[in-house]
Amino acid sequence: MESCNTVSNPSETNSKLDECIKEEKVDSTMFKQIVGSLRYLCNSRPDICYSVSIISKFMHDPRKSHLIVAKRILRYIKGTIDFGLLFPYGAQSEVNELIGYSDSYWCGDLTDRRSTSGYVFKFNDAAISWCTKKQPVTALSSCEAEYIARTFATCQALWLDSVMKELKCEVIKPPTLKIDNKSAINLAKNPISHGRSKHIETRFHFIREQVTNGMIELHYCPIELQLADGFTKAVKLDRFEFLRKELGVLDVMQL
Amino acid sequence: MPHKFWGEAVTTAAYILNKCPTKKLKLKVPEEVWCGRKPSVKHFKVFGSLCYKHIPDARRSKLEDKSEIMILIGYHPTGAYKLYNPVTQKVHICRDVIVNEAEKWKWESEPEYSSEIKQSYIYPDSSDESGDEEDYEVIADDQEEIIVPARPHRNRQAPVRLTDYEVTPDDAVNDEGDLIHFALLADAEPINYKEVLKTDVWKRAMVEELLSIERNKTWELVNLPDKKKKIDVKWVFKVKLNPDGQVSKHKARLVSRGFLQNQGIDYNEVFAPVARIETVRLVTVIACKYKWLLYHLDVKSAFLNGPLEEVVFVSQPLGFEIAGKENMVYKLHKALYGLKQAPIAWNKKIDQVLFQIGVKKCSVEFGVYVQKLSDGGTVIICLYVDDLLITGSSTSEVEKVKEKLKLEFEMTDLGELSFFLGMEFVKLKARIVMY
Repeated sequence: MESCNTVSNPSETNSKLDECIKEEKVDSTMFKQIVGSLRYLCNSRPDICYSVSIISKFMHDPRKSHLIVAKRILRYIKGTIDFGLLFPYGAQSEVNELIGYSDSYWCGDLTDRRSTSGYVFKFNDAAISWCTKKQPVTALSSCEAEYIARTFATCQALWLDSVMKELKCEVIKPPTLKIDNKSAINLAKNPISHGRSKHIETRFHFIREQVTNGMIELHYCPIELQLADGFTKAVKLDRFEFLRKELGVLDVMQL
Repeated sequence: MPHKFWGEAVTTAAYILNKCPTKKLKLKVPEEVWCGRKPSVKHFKVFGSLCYKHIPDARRSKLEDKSEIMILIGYHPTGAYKLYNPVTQKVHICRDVIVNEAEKWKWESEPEYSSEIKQSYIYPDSSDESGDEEDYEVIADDQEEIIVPARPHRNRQAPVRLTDYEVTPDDAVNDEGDLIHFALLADAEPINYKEVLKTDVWKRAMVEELLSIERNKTWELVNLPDKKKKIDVKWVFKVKLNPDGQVSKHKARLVSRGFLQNQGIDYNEVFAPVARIETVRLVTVIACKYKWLLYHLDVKSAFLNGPLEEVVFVSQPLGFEIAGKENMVYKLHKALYGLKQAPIAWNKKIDQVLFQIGVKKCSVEFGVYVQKLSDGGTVIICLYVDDLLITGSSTSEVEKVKEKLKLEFEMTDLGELSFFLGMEFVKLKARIVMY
């Protein structure tokens, strides 16, 4: 792998992987080692988070095409070996603000048709917490998938908020969550049981309660500014590079 | 009856004696005394009598005999009879039997036994009393002494995948005296302590580790009390590398084989909290915002500081046994690497120390400690097992906390944060980059 050609994004746009049962098996120990190392790398590289989550779904039975996808991530890493996560110095604004972005990709998984949720939190313009996760239940609509994704992000936001309170670093405003789906915002704000949302599990209505209590604010953001986009799907190259820059993953050598 | 049934006769005699009243126990039945219930003797029959074993429908066609003639040779603990088939020379265990105590088998007309006896045990299926049988054939391994129910013997067969290879045991030695199996070690980290004792670097590392243990007053030499188990220790060697791949240190670590411990006896709690990676990043951001300096401290041999609540004994380390006291063991006062409870013991210790210094544990994140200063500032400590990340609003206060910690533990001050949890932190003109 040392002499491989580099690529500019970790996974192919709109590529979808399934279990590929008919393909030949690959060395699962090596595959697991690759995934394990990449997962640790995710701690400082949010840009590969989604791609790694894709291949880690196949750890139990890796096939040839899974390994190819894994190797693509390694090739991407090779090209961006000097990249790091940026924490800007000094105060741009006096108030500390915690902004979360949450997004989902409806029916992202080919095998069981569950959706993928992703969120990222920025504190004073530096990304501190992010996650890509397949949702535990099957969502019936994209609005529902967004709603579930939001709930996970809310839990994380509340935890981060309480940690910051303990660190005596008060956030004046409640944390804001930016969402690109208007109907999901309305669903969280108004306790109207719509015909198409009445079946949503009670635990996902947690967010509604938190919005009412003023613990969290929901804001609409256009899809172009949705930073969590890259955590739920494989995006196009120019978009990927934009999102990477916004997350603060930059080439150290160019700074 | 032929002599070869003497074993069966003895077993049967004992079986019957245990169910007969004896004088010793004031005419009580031994089995009654043992299990508190009077045994039944209804099923007792004359030893060696002729009996008819029922053949289940599935095993015969319509016009065949419904039973086989056999000889009673004992009782099975499940309540079944042990039967011997003189024709096929097999032993069966069966419940479905009619016994004719008046008749005997005519042994005299018996042909000579072949020296190799093929026998099969037929066990009744416990759930199905009709005698649904399952039999497997066993080859008797005893040829001179013909004891019929000989122990079943299993033929050992090498796995098929190895048939193409020459197979040798792991520790086999060839004619020149070398090990046949010889693995090349990747970065020359020795596994065997004997070869280690030859090299000076490793020896020094081992002495250093033992000194560290002694300094911490981790153990004392005692005699192993009765009924207590000791846990073995072993040496683990590691070459530590710099971030740029240079050898920075040879490290020897004495570890206990904690997997020999039992939960509830040797240890109770295992898990210890650490700071989440999100929190580490959050603290870094906060430090950046206020332009605080981040310091990194590392506790040397951290686990050796954790006091143990349980009593644990370990054997003496290989190569460093004290002459004349080889049979004694070490009683541990503090934890050793590899012990199951080592992480929690260490975490409790540092928690206590930090509390004494006046740094409070964060209630939602147990790996973070915060000290509120009188002037409104704060000192924040992130704890990741033995790595500490310290930052705060006032450099002098941070230094004070560091000094206090250094009094308690042996620490290495790694200065400003550069390499934490395998991630490199670079400070540039106006920002910190983590990668």
